[in-house]
Amino acid sequence: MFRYVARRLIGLVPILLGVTLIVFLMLYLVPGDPILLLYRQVDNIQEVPPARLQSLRREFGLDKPLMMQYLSFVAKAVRGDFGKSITLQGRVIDIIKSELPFTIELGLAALIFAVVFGILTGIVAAVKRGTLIDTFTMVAATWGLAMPTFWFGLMAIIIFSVYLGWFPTSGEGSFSHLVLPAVTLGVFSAALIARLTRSSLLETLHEDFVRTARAKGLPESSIVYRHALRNALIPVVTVVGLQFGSLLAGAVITETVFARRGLGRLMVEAILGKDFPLVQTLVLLSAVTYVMVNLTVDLFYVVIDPRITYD
Amino acid sequence: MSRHRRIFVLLMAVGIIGGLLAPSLAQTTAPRQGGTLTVAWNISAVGSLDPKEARATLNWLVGKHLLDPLARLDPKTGEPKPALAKSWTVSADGRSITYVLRDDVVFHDGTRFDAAAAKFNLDRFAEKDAFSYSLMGGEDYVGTEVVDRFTIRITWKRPQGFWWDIQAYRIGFHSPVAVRAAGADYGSKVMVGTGPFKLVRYVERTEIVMERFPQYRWGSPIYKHSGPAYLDNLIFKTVQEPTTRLSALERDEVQFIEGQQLQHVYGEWSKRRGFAGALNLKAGTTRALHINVKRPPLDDQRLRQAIAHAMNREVLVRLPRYSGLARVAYGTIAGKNWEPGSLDQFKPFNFPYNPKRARELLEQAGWRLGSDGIRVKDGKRLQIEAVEPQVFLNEVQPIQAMLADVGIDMKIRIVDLATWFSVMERRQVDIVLRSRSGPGLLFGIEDWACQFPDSPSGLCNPELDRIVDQLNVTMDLKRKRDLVSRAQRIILVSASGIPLVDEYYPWLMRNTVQDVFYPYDSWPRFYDAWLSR
Repeated sequence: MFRYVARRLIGLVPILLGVTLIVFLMLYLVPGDPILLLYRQVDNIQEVPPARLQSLRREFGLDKPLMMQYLSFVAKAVRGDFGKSITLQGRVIDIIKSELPFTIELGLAALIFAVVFGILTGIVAAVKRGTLIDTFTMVAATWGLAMPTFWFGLMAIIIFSVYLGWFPTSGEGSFSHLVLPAVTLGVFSAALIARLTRSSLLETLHEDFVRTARAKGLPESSIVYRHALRNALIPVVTVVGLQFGSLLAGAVITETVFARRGLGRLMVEAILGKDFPLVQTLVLLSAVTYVMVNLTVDLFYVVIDPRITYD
Repeated sequence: MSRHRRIFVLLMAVGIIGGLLAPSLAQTTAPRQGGTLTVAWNISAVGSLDPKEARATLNWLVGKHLLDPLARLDPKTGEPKPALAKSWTVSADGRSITYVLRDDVVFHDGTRFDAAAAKFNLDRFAEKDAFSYSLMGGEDYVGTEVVDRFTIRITWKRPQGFWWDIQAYRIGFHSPVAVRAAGADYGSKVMVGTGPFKLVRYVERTEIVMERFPQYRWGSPIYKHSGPAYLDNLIFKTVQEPTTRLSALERDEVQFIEGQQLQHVYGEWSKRRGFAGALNLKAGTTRALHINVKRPPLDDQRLRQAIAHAMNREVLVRLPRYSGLARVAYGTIAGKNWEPGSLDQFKPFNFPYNPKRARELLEQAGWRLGSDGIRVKDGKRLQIEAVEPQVFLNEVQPIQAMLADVGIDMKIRIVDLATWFSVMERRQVDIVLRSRSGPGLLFGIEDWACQFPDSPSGLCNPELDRIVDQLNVTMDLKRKRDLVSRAQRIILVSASGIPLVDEYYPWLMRNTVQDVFYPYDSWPRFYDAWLSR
């Protein structure tokens, strides 16, 4: 097991180097000077003294050759120094530290909602197969998959904030601020998990061991929850792991609609501002997170299914 | 009429009269102290708040509440009015200005504002590697001299034509003690000025929280009062999504919002919900087509004039972006910047909507109608390319249709902002729809001047360039307006700039918000503002 984990972690190094190099080169392909871009908004162009431009280019190492800039970033990153942001004030690591808790909070809440709501709905639909409840839940799940996140978010604000007054429209800081964004972000994953749980559970319920359990006279609840569900969850766990990536991507829209702080919006703004150090570090963080989540999912299989080992 | 009916009619009449009088009575009510006003914008404050480095529009607006300039500009006349300076004298050659400062001003940290503090600030803004270096006149800035404890003299190598605009909108005075103590953190975590509000918290991209400065007694006469602000707290929040901003306003989570992309809710809908709308002409330039006169086929003036004749501006102002809350533009300078004058005076230099005339001009230029409705000359289709950021797409598409109507095929290339600025700077573009925001008489002119780095037009008219040079050293307002008139004529007649829409800056607020002030730059000020409940 430990060798397996170590091998996976070593495999992370080329992934990170590859990802940062590709992103670095892609950002450079987009025309425009990141320093000049600091002083240009869509309706505002400001004259910048040449001395100021030069000192900023020097400060961020943008006066060096392209490859030197990349190698310098990697060399510093290895030592835990990700440099200063070009567009925002302060060190990249401090900026990410200040935004990360909001993204973790939102991502976890959305994931919990998606997993709990998705699995429960899937079980109910599978157990009540062919009934009105099954039809209703699966139609709702299809609706959840088809709906654009921003539209769902706006509808949630209009209904639950403006008309019902249950939750605040935007911002962060309390549980009530988290409910609508978490549901908005998690609804797609919840729908996917619900559909997958239903189909996986239905398939498992037709397995021989379930027939044997029924023949032995075990109660239906015990058959579903103790035996069938545990087997049915393996593909669901894989999808939950993969959904983590889509939650990170969806956070951009959710954070914008609900005017929340977080890494999603930060990433988009950093890309648009060609903020190399910030984009590179965020990409590194996303890649590490994604690989670690997938590793965790792989290890979790052992817990769910004792037949799986990594020895 | 029975007695009961008479009483009923009487009560109804009292009710109606009371209802009619209520708004006017409310307006005459004395301002009420207290409360928190939260303002939601679609833009963010990023980077330093310090005018020495501040580059984002919202940073300047916030700065205007935390800092005071030497003089503020009268919104009606554009003339300077006292602020931190009581009076001033401009030297005969226009190269120096002597300011007599107020002697009762203190910074938020309790230290005194005097001539030494003013000199410290002005010299600091003029540092060569500071962003504010150009604002102070760059190489032209000679220095600031302390004449006595409350008198300073600023000297330049040549007169500074836009000094009054710049000092009013971009310069503010900071406590030297706080600047030295905070070091690199100044402007990001700390900012200590003399303005009516003190900085409590600044979270980049998210919010700026300010509280009233109780010792404030030096409000400029352009405002309604001179004492401390009425509001206890003033908060600026970033809420990019317009529907969320509107929803937050409905819930009273915020009381004042930027109305961009919400023009469609102005009028009856807003009134029913207890919102008040405010419309102010946007300062800067009008929304105009910038045509690159150096790129064939647009180097032919007849073709440019045909484009101008093809533009139905009345239709453009009714686009969803404006919903009618805009005016047809006849100059490239915004109507707000040209006040008290009217852009209508430039109407004779425009090429009005006349598709028939556009077709005639194209025929004269040798462009014959092809089988697909697009004109052809020497086997080449009449094709031009507009390069725009995504946000302008909805505006460019109707223009594309208007041009297609007279036989011009305009392709639209959507690019990110970095690419957009880059192609404009290199003049690798045929046509651009754009506008800029800001106060002053140079707007809508410098974009066509050769020395302006981001001019996509490439007009490079020697007379226009001379006018811009003169504007930069002319302080006399009347002379400046004459120069601007001449410049407008050159731009419009050459059809290198085709003004389309004079925009309004829309704001929406709860009707409890009173006395928001909109000065010369169209951005709201909340010093006079108060909440009626």
